[in-house]
Amino acid sequence: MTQPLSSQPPSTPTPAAQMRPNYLVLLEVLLLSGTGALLTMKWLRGALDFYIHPRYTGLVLLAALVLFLMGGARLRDLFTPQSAQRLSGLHLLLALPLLLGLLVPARPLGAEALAGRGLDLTNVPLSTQPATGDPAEWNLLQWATALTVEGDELQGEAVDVVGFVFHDERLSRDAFYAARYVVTCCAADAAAAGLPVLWEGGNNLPADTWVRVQGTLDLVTLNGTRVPAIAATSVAPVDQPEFPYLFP
Amino acid sequence: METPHHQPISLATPQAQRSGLGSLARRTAMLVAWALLLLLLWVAGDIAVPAALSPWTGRLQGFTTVFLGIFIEALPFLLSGVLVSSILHLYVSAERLQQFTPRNPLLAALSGSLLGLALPVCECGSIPAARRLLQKGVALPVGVAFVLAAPVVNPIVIISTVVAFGGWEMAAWRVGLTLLFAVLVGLLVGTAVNPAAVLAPGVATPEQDHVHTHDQTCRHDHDHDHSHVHSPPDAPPAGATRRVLTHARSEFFEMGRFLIIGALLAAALQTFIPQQALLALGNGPIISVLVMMGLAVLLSVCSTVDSFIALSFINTFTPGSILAFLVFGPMIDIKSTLMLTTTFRRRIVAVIALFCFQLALLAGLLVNFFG
Repeated sequence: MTQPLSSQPPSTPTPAAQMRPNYLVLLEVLLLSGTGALLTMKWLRGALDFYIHPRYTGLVLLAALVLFLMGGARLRDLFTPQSAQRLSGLHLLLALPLLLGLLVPARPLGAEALAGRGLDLTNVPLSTQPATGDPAEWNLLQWATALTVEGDELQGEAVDVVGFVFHDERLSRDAFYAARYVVTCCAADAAAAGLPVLWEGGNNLPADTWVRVQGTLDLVTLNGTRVPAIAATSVAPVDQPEFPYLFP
Repeated sequence: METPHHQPISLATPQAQRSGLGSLARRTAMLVAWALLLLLLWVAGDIAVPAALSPWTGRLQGFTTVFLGIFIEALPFLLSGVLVSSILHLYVSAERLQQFTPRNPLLAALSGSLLGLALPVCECGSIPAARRLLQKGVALPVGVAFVLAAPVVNPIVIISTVVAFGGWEMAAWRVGLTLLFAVLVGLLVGTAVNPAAVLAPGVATPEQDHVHTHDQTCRHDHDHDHSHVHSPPDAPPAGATRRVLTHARSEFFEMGRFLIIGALLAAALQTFIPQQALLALGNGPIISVLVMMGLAVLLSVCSTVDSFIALSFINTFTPGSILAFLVFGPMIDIKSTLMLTTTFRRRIVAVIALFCFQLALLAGLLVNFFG
């Protein structure tokens, strides 16, 4: 098939004495090894988990290795004669993941992205680890699972969860959502699990702050329906968890 | 964003080349693309963004995370596909392949739909592999059925479906319907009188092992010499790894752009169209099937994991809609549709998409009303 990036004739090894690098070849080498390096760097910084489920980390590193090898194989053609090819939109397109990955700060999905997705307990993938044992040790996903199954029976149980602050205008002044994204595969399928938290002045907490919420489960009326909520006794800011997403 | 689909052809054949107007349009498109990119990098990169624009910083960072999520997730699978395709290209002769594929269109479509069991590649990988098979002169029904069925009819996806739904029932329905649809569409498209009218220009000319006209089928740089075609395939010549890598690179660049455009579109739709609006429609026996099929296209997730996503909708959506999601999604979504245009003519891609859509809709409705 056609290959717009590189249409030189079959290359014969050119003596390096020619010493004029083929800039398009150089660009391809940079694109390939740069994308490989980006993935490796994100992994080293623990940021790969903002994009994909950790079970794919090994595969992605393998892909980075293949990209390095492809780049390395291409490096040999560095001194082949310049072809008639010029820089095109295609190069811009292929550089896009690299540019965005380098220049946009790596951040997990947060409250801003939730505005477009909405928060709905019923559309969260149910946890495959059943919510058993002490409810005080459940995370937000286990709570979501348990609440779909058991509902009102959990009223009065102790709650101790970590989530980020999300404001919904339907909530009163003294409440906010503690939310957490649930990721099955990659950030594209993230669904949010969350519970309303009743906390005086909760509206003043900046969105996206990570908090640890302790309290008991209660039922409140929201838009005419009774929904579970946390009556908080303590809301404390914490660092972003190592894995910001939960995995079913 | 400029979609450089026919660019490779125009680069190689000077007749369709750079009229003054086309060049102006191309330059304008480039300029717009660069401007949009810089705007995105500026606002999402949070570099001295004025307060009026600051709400956009978070949203565009979310957009970036989703885009990179799809790209990074699909990358290993795309690379495995181009590696398989390159090995096929370099070490399996066309005669050998053609020898194994049946002439009868029905048998051909059937064998193509089952080929995924032997070549386990998911949707990002099945398209480069299918394209290579077709270039090797494999019968059209084989290629079409393979490209549609392989993302589902392969060991990994079958196991993940069984695991997600905790039983064989949903997996059996999924695999059965996928095979049926792939064979039907394979027969419909595959029995076209003139394969050249179906395949994209570069694919239509079959590879001929003995007359290697590089400007016909392999317009990219091949710094290998193709001597391997005449040597037995089990004795690869020296530098085999480098050959495969070189070949895989050019194919990766070619398919990668469609993955990138597809991921951009999917991320943009997710960021700017509230999913909630879609889900609110999800209860009726008819509308739910349409919504789940729309969601399959919108999410563009890989078939190896989409059963886990489908599982999350099982309480709110009808069984028929879940099945339609599982069958239609791997065949047609934003990125695969774009990638299919490297193999088939756009008109044919539209026919395939439409036909798959109708079949999946029909199956979903039948399950909902009679299941």
